Amino acid sequence: MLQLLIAGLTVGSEYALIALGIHIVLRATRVVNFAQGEFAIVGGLIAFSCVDALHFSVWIGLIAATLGGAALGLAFEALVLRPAGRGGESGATIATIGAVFVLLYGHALVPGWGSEGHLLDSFGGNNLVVPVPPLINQFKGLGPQVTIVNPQSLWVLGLLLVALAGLYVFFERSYYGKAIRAAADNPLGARLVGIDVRSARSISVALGIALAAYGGTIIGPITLVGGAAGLTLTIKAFVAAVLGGLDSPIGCVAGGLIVGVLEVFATLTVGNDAADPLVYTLLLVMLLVRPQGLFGRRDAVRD
Amino acid sequence: MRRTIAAAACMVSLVAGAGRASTSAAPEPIKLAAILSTSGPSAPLGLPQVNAVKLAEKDINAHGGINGRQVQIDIVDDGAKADVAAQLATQMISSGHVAIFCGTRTDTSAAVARVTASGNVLQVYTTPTESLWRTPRGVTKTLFEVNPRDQLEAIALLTFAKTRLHAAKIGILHDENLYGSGGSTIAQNEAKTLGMTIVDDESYPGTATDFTAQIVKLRDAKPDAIVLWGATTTPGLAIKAARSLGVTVPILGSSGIGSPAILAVAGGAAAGEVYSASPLAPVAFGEQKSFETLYDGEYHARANPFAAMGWDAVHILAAALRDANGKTDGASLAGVLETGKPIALVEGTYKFSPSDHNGLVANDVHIVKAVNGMWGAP
Repeated sequence: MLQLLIAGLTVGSEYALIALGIHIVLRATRVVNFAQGEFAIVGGLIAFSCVDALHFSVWIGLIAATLGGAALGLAFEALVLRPAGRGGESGATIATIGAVFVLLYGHALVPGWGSEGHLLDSFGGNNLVVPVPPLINQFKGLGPQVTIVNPQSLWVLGLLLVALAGLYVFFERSYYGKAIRAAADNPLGARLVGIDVRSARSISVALGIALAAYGGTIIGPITLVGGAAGLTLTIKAFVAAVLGGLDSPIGCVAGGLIVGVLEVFATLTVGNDAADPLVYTLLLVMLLVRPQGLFGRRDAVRD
Repeated sequence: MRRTIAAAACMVSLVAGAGRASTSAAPEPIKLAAILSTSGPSAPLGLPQVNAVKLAEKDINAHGGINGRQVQIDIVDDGAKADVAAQLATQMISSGHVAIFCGTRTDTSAAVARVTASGNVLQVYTTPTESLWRTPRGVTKTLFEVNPRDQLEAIALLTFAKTRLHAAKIGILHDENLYGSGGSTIAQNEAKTLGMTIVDDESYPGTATDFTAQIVKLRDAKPDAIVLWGATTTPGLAIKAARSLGVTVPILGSSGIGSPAILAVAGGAAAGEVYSASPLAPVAFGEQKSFETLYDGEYHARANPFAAMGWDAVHILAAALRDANGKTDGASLAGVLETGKPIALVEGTYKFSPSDHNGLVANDVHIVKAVNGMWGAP
């Protein structure tokens, strides 16, 4: 049980970080960025190159991937979102779908990346063997007596919390963070009080993409980095964001973790073939029953 | 200045003349097409096939071509997409390619098979999926399989599990795609024939990153061995997950897991006891040995099974064209192959017949073992 919960939370952490990125970009630009998952893939590959080709530690790789993600975010905002957004938000949303394929096929052309998956070094530590408490052991059919925890799962959960804490401090405590929020919530008002709305937008997108790259890197040692899984990640993260509430950062994170855990338990109970349809049905039900999501505000739907 | 122009004009006419002379002297080359997955998730399989196709082209032409005509093989990439492969096949046929090698994957091969069947063009493919040529409506005349079919692999793997590993209870883990689910069904049937029990059957999506649920269920079913039917690098993650979750029983994979890249992903030596069905013998002899020597001389690398398939595919097309008395339509070429004249190549000696478009036997399947991250003798 614990085994599955940890697996679900680990996968869910990546959904959470990508969903959070979708939320930040959406809030600043009113565009759903479908390329978010691809940026996670590219982030992982940047880290892979740092480790594999340049022989840096995986921590340097993580920093490089996050900064690289931010730089890509700035470029993405200037070259794709801003020009495409002149024709309205739907044009920019479609442009992000175009970006998915540019990134998907583009990254395969980079020497050393290719189209297949690569294994990223672990962040450290050995498998932890946790004994299941004797009380639970008395029930039959619960499987083995120990839970084996991949240390990377702990890194993933820990680094998710680090990212969340960092974001909280930035948006809630810092002057720049508050300015960015103001610019997103009320561009005209923000401009009147002297906030540079355009830079605020750029920084938001950079931050959103950097989060995806960060997420793609920390899960790399468990999954693989590279490959063609980007769009699947985006869609799962989108389900997570809708489930939790697109306008709520806490909702995005909770939604990501819920989708991750649900997926693992659905695979266990109804099997792999039915697990994905179940998750997507949840999206439809959620949109019909509670479109603002578990943590969203009702009035947010009107936007 | 005028002199230079005159000289240049002279040169141009000479070159043009030379061009004309050469085309009239030698007959047009025979054009074949290879539609392979050299990008996308199957690139690790498709790229060695490209190497082998180029090598086979060179080899055939060095030995006088096909009945005195040189062979020209145009290689195109389908990006692991079935619709792209079908589109490319239509283009290749309309541009005069007389036979097609496609392809790397089951889905691309199946999509192209519809095009070649309706266009009466000979096609060979390299995945072990028998159901492409043996359909409920009968044998597809123009389609041949260059790789021991799934059933032969399943027989070889399960016989090995029973006799050498003394396994009685089998768990199955397979990719949810056509290749994996087809392999799973066949393995289940063959296990029953051999008197073994299937204790669990789990599937995973091709883009799977987490296998915990499947592995936990397999672990709880307590199999003596696990049969893993999949391809690309994903099965490596499945093996890694199984070992980190404390599953120590032997894992026997289909030939789709037979690349060193999968073992690297699985954790090298930490992959534990892993076997794979392979069209190549762990210790090379005969045709395989000469192919491996040739491949090593050209690419300075060890030829893997996918390269061997590419080599055999081209040589089978060439064998059909050689004995077809100048005919190139699919039915005539298929008729030549169906005569059952033995074609000794790397993966075995093919003896096709009207009811067998695979032409190999279970003894052509070899079992290899993972030893320190490389495939070797069991």
